[in-house]
Amino acid sequence: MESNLNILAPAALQVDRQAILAYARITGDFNPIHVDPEFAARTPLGGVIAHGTLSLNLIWQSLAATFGSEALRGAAIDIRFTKPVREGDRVEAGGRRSADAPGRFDVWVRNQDGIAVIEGTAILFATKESGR
Amino acid sequence: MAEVLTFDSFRPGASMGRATEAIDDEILASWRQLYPWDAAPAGELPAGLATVLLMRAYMHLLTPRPPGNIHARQRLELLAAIAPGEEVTTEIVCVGKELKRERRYVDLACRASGKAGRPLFDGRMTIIWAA
Repeated sequence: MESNLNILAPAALQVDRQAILAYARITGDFNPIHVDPEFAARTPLGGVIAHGTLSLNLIWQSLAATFGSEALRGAAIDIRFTKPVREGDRVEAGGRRSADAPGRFDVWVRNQDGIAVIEGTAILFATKESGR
Repeated sequence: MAEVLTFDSFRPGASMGRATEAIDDEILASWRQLYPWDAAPAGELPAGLATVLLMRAYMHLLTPRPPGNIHARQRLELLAAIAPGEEVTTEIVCVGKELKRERRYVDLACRASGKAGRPLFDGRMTIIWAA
């Protein structure tokens, strides 16, 4: 796993049925779009999609793997769920430092085809190099 | 049985209530099984469990929901680490709703506090409401 302070360490997950059901139990979110294939097939999405936050959690894990958990105190994210994650997808979170502002990172989660399913920004106020 | 919470029933500015819950050993064990690499310092929960507490409060407070809602956007600021077993109270407030391209968007603000009222996280979520 390669990382430095400009590139976030990757965090990846295989989103299989077992993972979706486990996350439904963790959150208490049994929305049929996530857990009922027959219902989900009748929606415009055409099938089961994973909970968005199942993949979002990987961004926090990517940040923690890069800077340590203590750097997440005071951290903020602002993301959009841009594409559905399907059962069977493999998703991977990553990010890179933004030139726009100190402590700001462009973050994403991409699927096995390289398509972004989550995009947004993260702001860290206590990254190692700042010493704060 | 309560009526389903529809888009029309949301009132921007209205609190949807408060929910108090702790991450117990069972939830934490399931988390560690799903994300075995996600370690946190002793006495602290992994950061992603703040999102879990938010989602659990949403499930508890905004019910019954129409089937098929979709999470569109999430903002979250972590203010302090949460301790395992710490009781966390999360308030959710409807801060806006908008009909756009035949989709119903509901904006919800959340604020969570823990032991002795210490602030834990603030957030805002946008949900595409199904009905």
